[in-house]
Amino acid sequence: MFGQTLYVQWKWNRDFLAFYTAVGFAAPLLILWIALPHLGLTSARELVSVGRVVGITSAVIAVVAGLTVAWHGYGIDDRVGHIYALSLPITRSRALGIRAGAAALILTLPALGVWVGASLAASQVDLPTTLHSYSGSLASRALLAAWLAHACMFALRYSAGRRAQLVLATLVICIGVLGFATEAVPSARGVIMRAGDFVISNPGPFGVLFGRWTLIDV
Amino acid sequence: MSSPRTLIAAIALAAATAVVSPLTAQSVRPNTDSLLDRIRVLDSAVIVRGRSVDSIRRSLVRPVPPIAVRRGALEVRTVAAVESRVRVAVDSVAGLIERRGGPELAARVALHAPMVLPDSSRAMFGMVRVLALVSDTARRSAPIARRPIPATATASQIADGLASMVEQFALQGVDSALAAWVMVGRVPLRAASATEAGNTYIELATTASAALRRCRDGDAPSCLDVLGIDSLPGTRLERWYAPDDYRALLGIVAPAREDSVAVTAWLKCRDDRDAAACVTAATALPNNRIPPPLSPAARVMFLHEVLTAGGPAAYGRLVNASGSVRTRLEHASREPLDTTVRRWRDRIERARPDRMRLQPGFVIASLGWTGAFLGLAVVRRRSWA
Repeated sequence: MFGQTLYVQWKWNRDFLAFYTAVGFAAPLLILWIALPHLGLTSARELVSVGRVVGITSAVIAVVAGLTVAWHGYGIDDRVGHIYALSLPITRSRALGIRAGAAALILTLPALGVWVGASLAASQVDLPTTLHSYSGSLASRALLAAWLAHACMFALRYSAGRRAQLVLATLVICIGVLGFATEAVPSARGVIMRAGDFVISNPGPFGVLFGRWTLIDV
Repeated sequence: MSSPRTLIAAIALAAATAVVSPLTAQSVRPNTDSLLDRIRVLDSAVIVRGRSVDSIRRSLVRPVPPIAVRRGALEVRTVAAVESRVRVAVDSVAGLIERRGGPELAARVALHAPMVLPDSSRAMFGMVRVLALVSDTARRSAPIARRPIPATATASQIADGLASMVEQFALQGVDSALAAWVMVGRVPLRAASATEAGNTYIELATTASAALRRCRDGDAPSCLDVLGIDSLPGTRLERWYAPDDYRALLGIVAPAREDSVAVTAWLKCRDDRDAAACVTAATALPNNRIPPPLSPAARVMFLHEVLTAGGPAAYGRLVNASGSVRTRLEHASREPLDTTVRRWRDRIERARPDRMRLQPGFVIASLGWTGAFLGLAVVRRRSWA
């Protein structure tokens, strides 16, 4: 059952996955190839800045890949009235569990692309002794970020169904209102800021997205 | 003597006076009234202005808070609403003064009476409640001199604010040579936080400077040179930067605009990465415009190392000693500065922030949240749509 679901997921998403894997592979190389001739006599600080650009690009690729796989899978399913899922001799929960597992597996591809591209890029730079490359750590973060982004979109689409856009809009409005409240209701600022800090830092839900993303660091 | 002519004259004068006096009274009365009115106008103006002055005075000089929290040399005035938190904070800071500053710092701190009082600060919409830390009751405090912290600040946050204040008291009144070397206007009684130490490590690891590289390799005189304690022979450019570092240096400092040759070279260095132009532009920089490779934060960490080595009396020895900064630091630490430098460098090396390593807790938390979000979808018990 898992193999069949994995194959279906792969068929649905292989174009996107190929694109994100290629971009994840090429981005570190391209960024360093563009940056290094301009850096010339490279200083450590400039290399760290370039590594940070590579890291942030990898994060964006991973998050978009995760969101796309979840959004696209549900979209195809929804267009045909979930016939495929309903035809399977298993419960809804089990079908979704298998689908999430399959998505998690195929999302390793963009992370692999990031890892190979970042490793190749780092090997071409003559790093000072004070700096290190973190291609493995960067790819691992990319994988975690892709899984998290996929899980968020997966939860939104399969929990809210056709009301997903409404729920998403409500969430965005709520975040905007909270942001506004930090200025409009000063007494609530402390609570909102603490809550925001928790959400975007480890061990909060989105700590992996807002942590440090860089290929080259001290 | 009283001749008839004199008598007639007296009678005539009396008669004339009797006739004229009502007229005179009529002409004087309006003058007096106008003066009285004028006095009343001026008086009211004085009253109005007096009220304005009182209002300004009240807004600038508040009454001293009624509660005095005293421990050792530190006395803080506050109000009942925050007294319990202030007591804990004062205990903590007084301990810091005893451990780090000794009697010399205690004497300086005793000259001040900081205040911790509820206040308000302007927000985009309305006002927000804060706690204001004011350095002294004796001085008229402008709002800018107050340090607002959130009204719900914990005792440790208040202690942190008070400790910063005490660190500034410690540098007040010291001679200009020492104050200029410290640069940041405070004596570091507290150890640098992990973030501060980590930032200093990053500075050491990423700043393009030959002197810093030598310092990291264990050359103590180079460390003392970049810390501004002891100069090696030569210009700043020769001492601190190698030709490979010139382009990074020229990213933060430019030659004088009057020197067209240097400016042209500076542009070529910056835009075309021309190494020869970098040398031309860098060597054209006046000696006093070459920036030191290390920020004041590194000096502050070093000074803390000196005070730690010298014990509680180190602060007194530092501010009371005479001579060069090196002599005074050695006198304060009671050890050769090479030893202090080595310890400072080791401490910074140990503070390397390992920011990219994935900690197991981080991975578990991330996977846990991913699972929780997936669970939201999986556990739903209604139809697919």
